[in-house]
Amino acid sequence: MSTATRSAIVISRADAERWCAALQAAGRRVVAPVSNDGGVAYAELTAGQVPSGLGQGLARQSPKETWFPRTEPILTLDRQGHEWTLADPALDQARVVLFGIRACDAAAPEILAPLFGWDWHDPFFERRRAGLAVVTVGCAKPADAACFCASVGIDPAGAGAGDVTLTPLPDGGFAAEANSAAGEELLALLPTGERPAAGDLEPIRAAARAAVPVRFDREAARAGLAARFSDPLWERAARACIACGTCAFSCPVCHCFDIQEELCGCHGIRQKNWDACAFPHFTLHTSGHNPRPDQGARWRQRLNHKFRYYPEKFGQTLCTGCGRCLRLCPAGMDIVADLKTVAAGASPVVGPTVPATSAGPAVPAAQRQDNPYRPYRMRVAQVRDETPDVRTLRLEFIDPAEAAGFSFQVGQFGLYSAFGEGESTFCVASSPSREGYIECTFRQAGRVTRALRRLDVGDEMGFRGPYGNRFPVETWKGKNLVFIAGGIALPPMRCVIQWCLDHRADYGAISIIYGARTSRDLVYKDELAEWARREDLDLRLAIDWKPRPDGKGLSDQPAEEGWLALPQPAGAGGLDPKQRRWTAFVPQLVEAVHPSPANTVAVLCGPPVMINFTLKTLKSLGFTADQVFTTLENRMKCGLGKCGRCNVGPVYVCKEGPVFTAAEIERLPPEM
Amino acid sequence: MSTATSAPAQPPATTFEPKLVAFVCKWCTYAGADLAGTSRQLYPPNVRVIKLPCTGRIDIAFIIRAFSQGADGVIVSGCHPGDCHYSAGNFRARRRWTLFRDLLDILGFDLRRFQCAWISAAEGAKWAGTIRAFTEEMRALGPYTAMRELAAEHSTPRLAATPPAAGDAPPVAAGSACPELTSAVHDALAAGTVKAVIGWTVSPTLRRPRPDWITDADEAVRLVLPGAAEGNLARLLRHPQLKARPVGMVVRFAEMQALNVLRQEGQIAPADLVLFAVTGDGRSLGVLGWDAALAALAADGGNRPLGFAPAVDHELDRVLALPADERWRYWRGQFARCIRCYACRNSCPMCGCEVCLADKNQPQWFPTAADGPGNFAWHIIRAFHLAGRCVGCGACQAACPTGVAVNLLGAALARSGHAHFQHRAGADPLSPPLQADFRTDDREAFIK
Repeated sequence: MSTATRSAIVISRADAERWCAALQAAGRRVVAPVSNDGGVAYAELTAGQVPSGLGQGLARQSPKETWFPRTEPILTLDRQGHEWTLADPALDQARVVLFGIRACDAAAPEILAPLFGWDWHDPFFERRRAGLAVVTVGCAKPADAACFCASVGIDPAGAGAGDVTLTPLPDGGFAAEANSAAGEELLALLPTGERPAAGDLEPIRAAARAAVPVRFDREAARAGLAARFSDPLWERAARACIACGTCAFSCPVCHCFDIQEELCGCHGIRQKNWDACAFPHFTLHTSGHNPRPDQGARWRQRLNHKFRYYPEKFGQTLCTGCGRCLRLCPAGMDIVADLKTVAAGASPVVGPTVPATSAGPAVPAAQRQDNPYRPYRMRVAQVRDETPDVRTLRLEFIDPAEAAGFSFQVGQFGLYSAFGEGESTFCVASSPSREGYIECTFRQAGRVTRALRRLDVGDEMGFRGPYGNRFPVETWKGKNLVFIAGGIALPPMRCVIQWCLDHRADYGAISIIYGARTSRDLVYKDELAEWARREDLDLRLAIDWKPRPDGKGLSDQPAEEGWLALPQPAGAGGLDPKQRRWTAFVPQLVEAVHPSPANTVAVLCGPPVMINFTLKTLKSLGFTADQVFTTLENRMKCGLGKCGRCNVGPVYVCKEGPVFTAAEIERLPPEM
Repeated sequence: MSTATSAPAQPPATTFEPKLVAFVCKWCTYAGADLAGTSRQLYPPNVRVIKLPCTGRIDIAFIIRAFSQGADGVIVSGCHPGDCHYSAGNFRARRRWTLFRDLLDILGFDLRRFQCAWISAAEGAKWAGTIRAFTEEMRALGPYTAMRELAAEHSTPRLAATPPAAGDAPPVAAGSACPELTSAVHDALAAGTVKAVIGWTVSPTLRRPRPDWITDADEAVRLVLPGAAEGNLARLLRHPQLKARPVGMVVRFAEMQALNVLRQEGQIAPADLVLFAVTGDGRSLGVLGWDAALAALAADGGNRPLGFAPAVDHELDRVLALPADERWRYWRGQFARCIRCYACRNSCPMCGCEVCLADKNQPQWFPTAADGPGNFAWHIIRAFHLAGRCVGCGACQAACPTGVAVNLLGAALARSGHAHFQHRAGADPLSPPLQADFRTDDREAFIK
């Protein structure tokens, strides 16, 4: 915004009301505070309606829906026979004036802009924001004891906030001054009349600023949040929390969303819906694992996201101090008190409290800037059952032009649509070196995977991607590779394994250690057989021990014929090189195979418990955390770094992941 | 080709053909419909028949789904009372339909479009006649445009449906400390008769009472009287981090009623609870047994047989007096405000399902979006699941950040339960729950 080019003028309340009518006459839609049952609410003014709540208290709900509606169609899907037509909903072209909103609310769209615009642009948000003009009204005093804008660096007097600032004058009028060219344009629409220049506004503003106390030090709070990540404080603080979405939905800057779709007959609609980190389902994996298992972890995420991760990532505090989360919380949760607590005794730090990750070179953002939520239409070219509940689909592009413009890299992932049901996230299971198709392998677990399983050869489905970073395979040239996978975690590694086998000469010794519960649960059986025949790689498979007859745990006996019990303890080099099938847990087998850490890279993927134990084993073998790579599969909805769901601390797994080194993961908060 | 113009052929006048859905039990009505077919009884093909094991299996979510997917009329039908293959499925269904019709009625729903019938396996002619008459009636009524408009409302207008400020009352003043309560709680924790006590502490910034619990006798000083705090401590009994039993609870009239319902349903055992009774005017009555607490606090309920605040009753009277189309508009306005934060559900002492129907997606019975069809279905289903259970404590109303009149639906169903079945939620810990119970002589006048 340019600096004000003309000094403030005095307008009366009646002028302000006529101004709204003039703005409407000029084709703007005007959202303004109206008095309502003794309180104030933001509403779009109808013709002839006046902003009766101008300058009177803070609206109960923020005007967030003006830039981020609670539910917003992002795609329509229509089926005719077996064919689907996907279309983008028309973008909202309206020019809206937010008239007489408070400085806390006026700050919100600017705070969100970097999030909706980094790398991928969200056209829905950006179009709405582009159509916005803001007339801020300064506060003479805080609305109530919940207001804390001064603590997050927002000026309650609204100086310079939005395109025009109205400063309330003691006689009931306002001093109006433009803060930008857009503001000049708005002021030009003021009905004509004699308007004196306003006097010095500084005393009025100083009084307003003095009325809102600074409750905590933002920088100290940021340091305190880092220092007290694992602290009984969170369990205690979140006891009252009822896990509803009131705080997030009433917050002007909470922006996490869900993507859901509804099919009615042959017509479907895909929508972004508000979502909240307080909901237990927010991060729940389909497997039942939840990285934030209790309300304390969820409350801690809310505070960390707002006061630590977002500032470190986007340079702004994700809070405007409007106080609605305090005011409206049915359970009396108290963000100010908890921030005061963590800030107390913490000394402000310079620089980020969580080191940035460096895994894999960033991948340039791909196509589809018009509507990044629209998937490619794909055709199922092949269906392969891997196990009774795991299936592989081979997909080909329906549109040759899209196929020609498509490329992906080793380790990237995508979102796969079953039209009418929704999207699921999987890594691309085939290598870029196998051209002309992509493959995905999934276990039937939820609504989408069940629908994907119903698809047959020739059916249509959707694919969005590729997203995320990749395995740095070119830096591995000349090194030995050890791939370690458990259960359904071989598919996300198959891409890199295929790549390395297709470029076999580039790498040293390759060994693959893969375990599953039973031999039936091993995926890619044909490929395993092929790998077993190869002289240039060492394949070791493992299945679980036989369950004890009393049902309590596992025995020390093999469960299936042909699967030898692993000698315990297995010494170095003690394994029969010809024997590929073992009864063992993956970490035990890794120990028995005893890979040498010298000039070696290990790639590890599996359920959290397997990862933990295998990592310990690798370390005991001398591997450093920098030598071990893994790929994370968090719950994701957008894949574009917007929806706020896959984050581990400040890291967006969908953008900065899914590939990480163990060293990077160790630096992240323990929320996986 | 001649360029002579001729008047385009008049398209035949299209008559509206209604889409009807029938949810029927497989033992009686479905067999009756079969009989109608085999005996060549003619009836219009407008009806899509969906066969279920029993009328007791007809979830109201099915009916709402049918309407929001474009049905112009829905009929539910099964065995005559007394003939249920499973003995009592249709008796339970009858209770549900009675309550559900009253709920639809307060919403201003067109009740002619939801019909109920008893049709046995021998009544092929009755089936054919019922469907003929229903189709005729719906054809005459035309498409259910009100419902179709609602079902197509997939995005909300920009802040047109504004939350009112009602309920924006100044924050409830801090509850005051109460030495009698403090010492009673302290003694119980010190003696080990309770492992934790659920009560109210003060939120630091706004100085409002908030639900909390303590486990140390030394913390007893933190507990305060709730004052006018709206909220119901009974919901903390299902808090995943509060497993310790026996547990103490500071109870007012509202908590007592809620505990009664939970006890009716076998969700709590009285032996697990120690009650610290406090009256509405802020007196601590100390530790009381269940019946004594109930009796001592009953006076706080005043002369409100159904537990609802007088203001709620008055508003309900006002809404019920409106014509049906105005009621429909009223509720569309109310539901349009809903942002689906689930504060109503999560603040409710009764909503205790491990996974709420709203959070299940296999199948997804109604949209999670805060749009027309999603909000309509959510509020109906929530209210219906609380029919006979809602004690009118007002926690949901106080919790709603956008001021949706959620409590009104509870009050309407409480009235319905009382009028038809003389049921008063939370009045008696030993009476059976409304929807789990039936009487063979439950009366209704709407089932054909």
